[in-house]
Amino acid sequence: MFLSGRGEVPLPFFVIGICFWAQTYAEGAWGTAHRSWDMKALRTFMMAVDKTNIFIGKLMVGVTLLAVTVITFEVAMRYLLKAPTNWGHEFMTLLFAIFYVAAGGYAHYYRAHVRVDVFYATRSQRTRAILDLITSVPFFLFSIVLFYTSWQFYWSSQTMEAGAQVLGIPIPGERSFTDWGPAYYPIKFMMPFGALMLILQGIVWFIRDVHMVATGRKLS
Amino acid sequence: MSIETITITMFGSMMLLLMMGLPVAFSCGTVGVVFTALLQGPMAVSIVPTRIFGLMTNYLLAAIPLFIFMACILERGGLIADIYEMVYQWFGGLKGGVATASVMACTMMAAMVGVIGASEVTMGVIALPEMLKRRYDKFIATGSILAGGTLGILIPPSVMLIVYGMVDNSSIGQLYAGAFLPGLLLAGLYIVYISIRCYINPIMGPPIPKEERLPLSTRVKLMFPLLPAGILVFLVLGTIWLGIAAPTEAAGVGAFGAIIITFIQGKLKWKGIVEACENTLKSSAMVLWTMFGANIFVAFYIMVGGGAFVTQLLVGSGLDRWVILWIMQLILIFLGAFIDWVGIIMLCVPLFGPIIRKLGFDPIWFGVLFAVNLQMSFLTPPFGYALFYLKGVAPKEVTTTDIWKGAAAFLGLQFVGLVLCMVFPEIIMAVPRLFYRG
Repeated sequence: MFLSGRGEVPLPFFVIGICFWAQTYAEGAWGTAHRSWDMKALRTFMMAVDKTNIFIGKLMVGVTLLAVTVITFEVAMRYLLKAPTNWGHEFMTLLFAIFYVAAGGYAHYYRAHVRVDVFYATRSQRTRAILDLITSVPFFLFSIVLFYTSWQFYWSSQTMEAGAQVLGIPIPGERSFTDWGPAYYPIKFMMPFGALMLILQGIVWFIRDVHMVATGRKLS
Repeated sequence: MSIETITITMFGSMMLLLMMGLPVAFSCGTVGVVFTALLQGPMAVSIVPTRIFGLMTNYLLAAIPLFIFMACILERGGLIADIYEMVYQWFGGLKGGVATASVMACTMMAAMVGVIGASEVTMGVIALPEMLKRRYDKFIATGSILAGGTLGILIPPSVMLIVYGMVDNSSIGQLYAGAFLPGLLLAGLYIVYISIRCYINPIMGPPIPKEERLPLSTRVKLMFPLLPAGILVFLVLGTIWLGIAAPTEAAGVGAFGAIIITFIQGKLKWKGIVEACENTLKSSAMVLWTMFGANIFVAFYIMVGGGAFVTQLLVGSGLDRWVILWIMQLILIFLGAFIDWVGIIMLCVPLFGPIIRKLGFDPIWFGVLFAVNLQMSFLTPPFGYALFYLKGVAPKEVTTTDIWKGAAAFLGLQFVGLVLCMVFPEIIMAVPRLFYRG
């Protein structure tokens, strides 16, 4: 199912990519042939992912403030001026849709997703890293399924003929059925994007955990 | 596969993943996805983004980040500290006064925020060292902050009740109205307990000495800066209860008002707003992603007949309806010790909701009872949020054991509160009847 249909990124590339990084890293950490450019590339990749997720977090400051302003404006128009807008509620809801999706990778960078700390929290750092490596199998399973299915979900929305026109030229893309009728596909695009950021952040943690298990030290 | 096998393997594998430290969102999500693929074919997995998109674009759920944001802004603006300072000056002279003041400050704060972290952390930083300095009993000191801070999730505006109302399809306004008196009842129980202990044995909580108390005029002056925030809260809750505004609208205006108030009072800088937004992002992720994962899990479980199975198991047992209600409460207490509240609501409400209606209980009453019960989950080790929050900020001389022991007595009080709400349903239903007649 993952390899059919159009507009998809082939799954094997992902698997190979993850294996490549893990293998490259393992050579760097344990191998006799320590090649510094491998490490450098790896560090650059990890830094890039971390910084991207932090940057997305900063972008969400604007989204939050915009959403708060929009809903307040809508309430003022509705209850004070008796002239409700037809876009206020939907606009705010869609802003928060982006917000939630962006929060996935961001929270994973801070390891803020809720865990059950019954057994896990009391282990040593190294044991925790081993547990993380084991549970990274279901983690990647879930996040990759999320990525692929939401990519299909987005793509079918992107290519849908909804009859919208700009200057007489028909443009594809699903629209909301409300009066305002905003395009849905940019919001739906955020889903595979968010899943991708989650996967990338997961890979970064995976590398850190491998380092912890191999050396017993944190990777700076 | 029979439904019994599915139940055992699904919940078993989820528990296993949870114990190994995989976040709740991904544990539930993975198990849901794998079982869907195994039992209904890989194509069925494509339902996942549809479900998540439904939650993402849910208008009611937008109230969650808005209320969290409002709490973060008020916290950055130092409002909790101000409230504590005010109550402390007014009630510090009583025996056990600082602990009483902590509970009162937490209760007032709970009427402004919908989560527990903000009060728990701030009070742990301000009130706990204060009580230790005055040689308060350690267990009273930690317990009062733990229990008081937990009220944040019960007293409206409560994020927990938004999630409950969304999942159960019941009115959030009515749930809010219902949670009001139980919240005050619990706060009252805590204060009475602290006072009784400290009057019997004044060493446990000495009053602050006379020379440290401020004159009446100064005490009154302390109240003025809090007025705007107080009015804001009345506006937010009042409009929800009277059914004028939807919870989302009230939350949005509340957040906007909180920014304006703290900004005008000069307590909030741009940096504070950025930090508040980032904390909101993290806290919302904790709630929303857990909902995403748990929704995939439970939707599949109900689709293969899990709901009917659980109903059959409980209702078909021929037990008295009150016994069934008690079984549910015990299940919730047990789960509360291990899983966080979002997971519990997402997993249990779709299963319990239909049973409650079948047994003829009031869904609003049960919803509030659910929330009162889940309050205990914050204090039940090994997985109690409040315990972690307080441990994170407590001074070094307070050990984890102190915090656990401090929680024990107040956990007992919460249980008493739960039983009272069950025996006297009017405690919950009085306010909703007042606002929503007929």
